[in-house]
Amino acid sequence: MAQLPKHRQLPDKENKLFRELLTQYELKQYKKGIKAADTILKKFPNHGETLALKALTLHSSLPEPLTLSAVPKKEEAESMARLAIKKDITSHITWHVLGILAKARKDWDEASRAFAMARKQDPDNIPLIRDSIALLTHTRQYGAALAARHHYLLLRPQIRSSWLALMIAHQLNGDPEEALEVYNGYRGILQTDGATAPEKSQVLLHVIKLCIEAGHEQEGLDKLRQGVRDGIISPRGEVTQLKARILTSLGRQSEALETYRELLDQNADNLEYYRGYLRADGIDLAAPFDDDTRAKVLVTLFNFSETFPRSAAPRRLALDFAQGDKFRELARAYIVRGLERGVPSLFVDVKSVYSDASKMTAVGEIVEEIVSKLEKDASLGGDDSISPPTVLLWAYYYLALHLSHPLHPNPSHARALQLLDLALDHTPTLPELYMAKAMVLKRAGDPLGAAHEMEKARLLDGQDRFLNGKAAKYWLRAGDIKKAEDLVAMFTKKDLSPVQDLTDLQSLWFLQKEGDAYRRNDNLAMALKRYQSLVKVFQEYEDDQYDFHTYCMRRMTFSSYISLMRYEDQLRSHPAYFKGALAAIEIYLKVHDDPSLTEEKLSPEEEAERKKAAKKAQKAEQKAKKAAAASGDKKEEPLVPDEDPDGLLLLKSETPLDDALKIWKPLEKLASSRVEVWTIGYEIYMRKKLYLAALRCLNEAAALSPSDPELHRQILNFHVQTSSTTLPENITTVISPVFPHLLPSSTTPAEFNDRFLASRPTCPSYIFSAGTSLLELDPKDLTGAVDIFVKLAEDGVTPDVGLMQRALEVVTSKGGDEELVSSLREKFVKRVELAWVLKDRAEQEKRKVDLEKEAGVNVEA
Amino acid sequence: MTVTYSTTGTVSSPLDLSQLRGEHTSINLAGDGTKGKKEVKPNVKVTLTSLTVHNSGTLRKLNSVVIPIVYSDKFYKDVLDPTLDDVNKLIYYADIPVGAICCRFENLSKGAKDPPTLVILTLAILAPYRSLSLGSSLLLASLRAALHPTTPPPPIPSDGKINTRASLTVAPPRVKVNRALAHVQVGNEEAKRFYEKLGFKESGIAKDYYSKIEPRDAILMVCEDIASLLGEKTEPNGSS
Repeated sequence: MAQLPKHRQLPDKENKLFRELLTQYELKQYKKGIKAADTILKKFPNHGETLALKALTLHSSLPEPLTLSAVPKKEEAESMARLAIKKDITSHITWHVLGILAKARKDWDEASRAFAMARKQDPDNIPLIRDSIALLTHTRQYGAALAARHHYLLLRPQIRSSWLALMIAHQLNGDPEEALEVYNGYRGILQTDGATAPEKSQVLLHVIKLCIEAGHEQEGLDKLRQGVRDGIISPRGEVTQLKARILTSLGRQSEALETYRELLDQNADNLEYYRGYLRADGIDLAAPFDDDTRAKVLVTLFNFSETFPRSAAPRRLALDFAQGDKFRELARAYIVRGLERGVPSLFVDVKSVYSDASKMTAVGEIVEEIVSKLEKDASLGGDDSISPPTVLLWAYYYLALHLSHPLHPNPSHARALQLLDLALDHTPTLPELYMAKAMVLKRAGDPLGAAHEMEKARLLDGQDRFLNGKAAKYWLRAGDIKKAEDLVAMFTKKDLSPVQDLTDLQSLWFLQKEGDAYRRNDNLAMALKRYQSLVKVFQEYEDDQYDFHTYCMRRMTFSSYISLMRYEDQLRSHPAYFKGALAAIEIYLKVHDDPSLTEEKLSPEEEAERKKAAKKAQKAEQKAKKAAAASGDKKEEPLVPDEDPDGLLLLKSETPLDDALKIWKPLEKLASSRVEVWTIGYEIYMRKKLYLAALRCLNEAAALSPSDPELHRQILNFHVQTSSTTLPENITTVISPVFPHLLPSSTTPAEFNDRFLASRPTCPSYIFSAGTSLLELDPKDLTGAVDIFVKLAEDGVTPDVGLMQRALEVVTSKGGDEELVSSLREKFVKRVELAWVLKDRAEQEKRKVDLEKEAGVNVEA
Repeated sequence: MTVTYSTTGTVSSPLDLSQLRGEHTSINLAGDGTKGKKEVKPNVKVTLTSLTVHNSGTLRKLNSVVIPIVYSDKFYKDVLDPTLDDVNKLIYYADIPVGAICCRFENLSKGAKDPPTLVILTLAILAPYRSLSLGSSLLLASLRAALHPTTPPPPIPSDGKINTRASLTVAPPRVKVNRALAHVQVGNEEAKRFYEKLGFKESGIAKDYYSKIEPRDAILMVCEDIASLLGEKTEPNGSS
């Protein structure tokens, strides 16, 4: 054995204690361990490894979640671990402990650095390598992880999982070929496989997928057939799907078709199987069809619908492919069947064909015809029977949703509401009708009326959590946060605040909507707090994957593991993250533009009220403390309180732009195909005065969608900003050759703006963009901007309440006088009469009172 | 008799309406002579559901739309009594609540003058769903339940805030009830005929039964023997 360095040596007695300390830590006897460590340290206060172990033991003895009294102990442990490194920098133990503590803090980067150092000191330490591999994989350092795996295999070649894990490491490193090589090599030297049956089947299934990934379809097929013959994998389910896919890509058509038919026998409702069948039949589903292919596809689907009469899938799929009269015929049959069965989701099911405008019109005509026929004859069948009364009801419901759909070229919210009222006269006990009414009102720009309708639906069935959540959501939209929280509290844990419980449950919609509500109510601090919680939820998702790096290797669930890794890689492209992140960034930008927003503006009365409330809370707390002390109740140690209950610390950040950038960075990588990411990125970089990064954002946005309305405004903004300041030469030399691609130098900016509006004069977002762009060019030209904004209210322009609202805000914020704003408001209100949000404060207040009165009467009745 | 268990908060198995068609057709013919009875196609699932605190909003809605009387909060609280669970039901047509029956028992105590009686308080079916045998099937289900009390009776939750298993007390078993009574407003011929077709008989007038609607008198419609109405063997009334 190599000679230990002098500062690490311990006399026999202490050495024995040190060993005991190690076992006590493993046996979780933390108190004894700390005592032993203290005994050693009394004599040798500079012994680094003991210090490290004491830090680790202390850290492990803390309660989870952290209580208030444990916080200083945790800090002590952290600093002790750091001290230990200083005392003994060449020990693997000190570094290992530092790594473990960093890992517990979820500081993956520091942890992986510490583990790398530890491995340098002791390269053959097995637990060290295992931890380190998990960390390297977690931080996506696949190359280093692969090397570590290799080393591990050399140390433990007799263990099955070292081989298989090496295979996975190769795959993650992007080399499926080599991964297969490892597997085949391993199979070659294997005498008897001691794995259990589920392990075998998991491994084989994954290897087959690996073959597909590496492009060795034939090999995969052979392995699959062999596996089924040997009884390792079951021929049903996923294996059959893989087989069908392999056969299709190998071009063995008849076998592939046969396999898909087998799959359909197992599950005739899976749309993917039908698509797979058609693809195997040599039909390219992505390309536009000619008439022959279309006829062929429809015949195939028709035959399937005869074979599987109970399945709606082939009939539904046919609607995607059919055209013209054939579409009409099929769609009518499909809709009638859905109405007769009373399928509530019929509209949601059918509406995806609305991307084709002619189909949308056709469906509208079909449903109109059904409604009028039912109103006249009460029957859809040609014979003497009558249809169930619910058919008319669902037809009204469908038509109302159809008429108010955003894609509808001329949405008629008033008519939709009329139809829903008819339906409510017919059957007032169907919650869907109130929900639809609420949705129509929401789209028409009346969040308060919508919330009241949703409340009616909720009252029909207090046990329905979906209705409860919906109602809460609508109250949030209407700005009544208290009411919403009271509602959700009916279903959350009783000993926590509803917000805390929903945050723990990672309820994304709630965080988003409540953030939005606070933002609309001008409480930016709370809004930011909610958005940050949302962002944190995604961090938790990412951190949670850590355990699976070791767990899945042990369980040999490789397929699920790989798909988890791929999911985590694109985690933040999730629309919920996207929306929350964008909103948070917008708040940071706003705060940067106007730092006075972070100061609370409280009237003296509010101030007094707040002081009173704080005093009261303090008193209550003291009382509770006393009571707890009196009863000798020590089980409830207080948890660490929220440092920032009102989000003010977040809002008062010194570096709002850097905070924004931190949220934006993952979007840049993971949602790079969304134009909004680049337009918001532009706003951040312009404020940071990083002109080249901003220009890059413009270029990226232009590549995705050259005529994006927001981009258009930003191009003009960039022009104004860069020409008004003198920039260093090295920057201008980059900008000047590139920027003309965005803003041609042959036109003046004003012409550019006019031409943009003229290209789509009836598109609301174009109008809005042209108006705001005009203000970029000349912030004083408010009348000119209003002249453009007025077009939003013209006939022939689809009314967009959201943009109208924003137009009013823009004019107000740029200093437009009362008269100008109210004349614009008047025009908007006249165009969209249901849009209460656009009306002025007094009218909205009056309506609020009216609605409450009406709701009160209904409750009493 | 087969043992049936408490149905509190549960949904019944689908009802078979086809057997009711005979009686029902004649009601329809009498009510609306111009149109013959037609078959409903396709067939629709009909189920009964217990009343609970949660769906009492639905019950309120149904009653307020169909019946011109405004009932008190007390009424809606009383109908939730667990001992009434098997006679008070909502009826679902194609999974939509379209009607409800609310009853109460009278004269259950030993020394009462009249035999134990099921008093029908409200029977409401939404207008578009009438003439579909829903009302009769709802009423018949209640009559059947009155005649055959469920065993064991559903537990009664205590009035305290939190109900634990231990705080639930078992309701005393109920006697068989073989008499039913309904009030029909004078002049409401359609309702009167509905009860007559099922086997109820007119047995007098209750003066000033309604306080807020005109006419204020009600006809008493009585069924003295539920068992024979249901076509079952007669047993002495009040035996348990």
